[in-house]
Amino acid sequence: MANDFRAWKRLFVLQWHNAASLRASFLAQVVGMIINNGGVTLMWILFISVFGTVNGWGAVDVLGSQGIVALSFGFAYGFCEGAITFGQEIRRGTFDSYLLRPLRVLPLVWRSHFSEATFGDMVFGLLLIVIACVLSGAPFTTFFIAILLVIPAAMIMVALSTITSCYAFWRPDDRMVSDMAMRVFLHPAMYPGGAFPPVMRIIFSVFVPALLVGAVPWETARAHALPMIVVVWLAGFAWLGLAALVFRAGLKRYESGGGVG
Amino acid sequence: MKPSMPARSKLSRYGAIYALAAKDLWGQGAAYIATWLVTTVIVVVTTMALYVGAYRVAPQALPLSAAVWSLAIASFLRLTWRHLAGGITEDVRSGSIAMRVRYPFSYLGYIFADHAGRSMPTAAPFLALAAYLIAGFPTIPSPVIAGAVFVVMVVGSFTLSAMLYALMGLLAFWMEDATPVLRVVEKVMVVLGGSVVPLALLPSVARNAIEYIPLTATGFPAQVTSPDFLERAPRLLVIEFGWVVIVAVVLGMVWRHARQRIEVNGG
Repeated sequence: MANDFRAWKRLFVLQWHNAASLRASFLAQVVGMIINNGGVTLMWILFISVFGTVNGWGAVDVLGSQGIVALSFGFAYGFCEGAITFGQEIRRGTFDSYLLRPLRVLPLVWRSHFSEATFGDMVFGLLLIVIACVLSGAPFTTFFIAILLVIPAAMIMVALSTITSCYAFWRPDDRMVSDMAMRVFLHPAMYPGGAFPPVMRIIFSVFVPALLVGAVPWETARAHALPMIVVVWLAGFAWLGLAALVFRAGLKRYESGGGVG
Repeated sequence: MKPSMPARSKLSRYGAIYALAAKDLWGQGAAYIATWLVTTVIVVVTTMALYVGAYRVAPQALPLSAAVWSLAIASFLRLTWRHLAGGITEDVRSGSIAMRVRYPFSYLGYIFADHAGRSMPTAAPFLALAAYLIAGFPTIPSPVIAGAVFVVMVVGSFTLSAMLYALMGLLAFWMEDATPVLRVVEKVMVVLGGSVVPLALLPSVARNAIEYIPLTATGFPAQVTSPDFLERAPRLLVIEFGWVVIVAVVLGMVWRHARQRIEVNGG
């Protein structure tokens, strides 16, 4: 575990220096992502401005949940972008390089790629959460709980990306299903939670945990619902555990393509 | 030097490219088409379902069926050309554009026909079916006239969208990575084109102001379901085709400069 962490840290520092050396490109990615996320938030602010409060959800709640989604997305894929990309490496036959190192495979895979655009997500997300807390007049504990729940939300995102990318172990020639599955998860995550009817809330909390990465953490933070904090954290660990199991099962099926990258 | 050919012959070639692209899409099998459809349609259908929930809580002056069909039409208009910019960028990065500009027809015409063939045949019927199942048919005043105006507007919208996406794709000639720009413009298109909130639901002051933006003009046909469509149609057509002309001129200039870069660098 200590070796994994040291390797993780070293790899991150190298990737960071590499990205930051192309300053203009780095800034363009970060700023572009901030503007992109701003557009998504604006979409839902427009929706709320048309319909008014929807099941108790107003513009401030949209800001808060979008902030949590953006910040957890930034954490998840800023530090574990490999969870999305390893499917492509399996298809290209360059996955073998992960198996040849004296480190645990899954953490190494997660840490293999780095996306500078995710720093835009993190900055934007943090800003939105702060704005939402200030506008709603919420106490500091709301902010603290929101930040605390970003971590299990990020864990769920990494887990789902890992599970969908693992499809490549069984069908290396089919990229579409992985892309489709992530889209089915990510899009509802960005919708205002109050607009989901009860049945859809259950579906998108339990089976496709899209609401667990934005809407539910924000509702929990506002309500200071301690049992829900535990539930969200447990869900994060459960999905991560499932991802590890699926990865292990897929790895047993893996046949080398002969490429070591 | 490319041999010149009559305009009718060129059009039939683009029609053939469209047909080949559509045949290639269907030929890849039901699994590919199904996953492609789920990716695009499920997102739109989820949005439409949200409107059912939102209308129960806060009904609007615009009927639910009109709002849902507006979302379906706006999404279809946007989804058709969604991958066009990426296709051009890939051609530029890989260098295959140097070969494709030697074809006996316009590279841009080829890329438009190819993408239309891969997108149009699949999204439209499924989005229409989803909209009907969720909200039934909308009531449209003077449906024949509205239908004719709608068809003209769709032609303008497709032309404008294709040219705007092509402009974004051509950025690859000058930018190492145009992805941030593409992302931003696409998001603006989603918001202003009415794919998330039908323009007919916005306050009239905001609606009138944003209708002058070219990205909004790509979503004009989606307003066919709003009660005041025929009243607004002449103004919308002028704005839409005005932008078609302006963007066509800009695209022509940008494409000329881009082609010079191909020849200067040896392809």
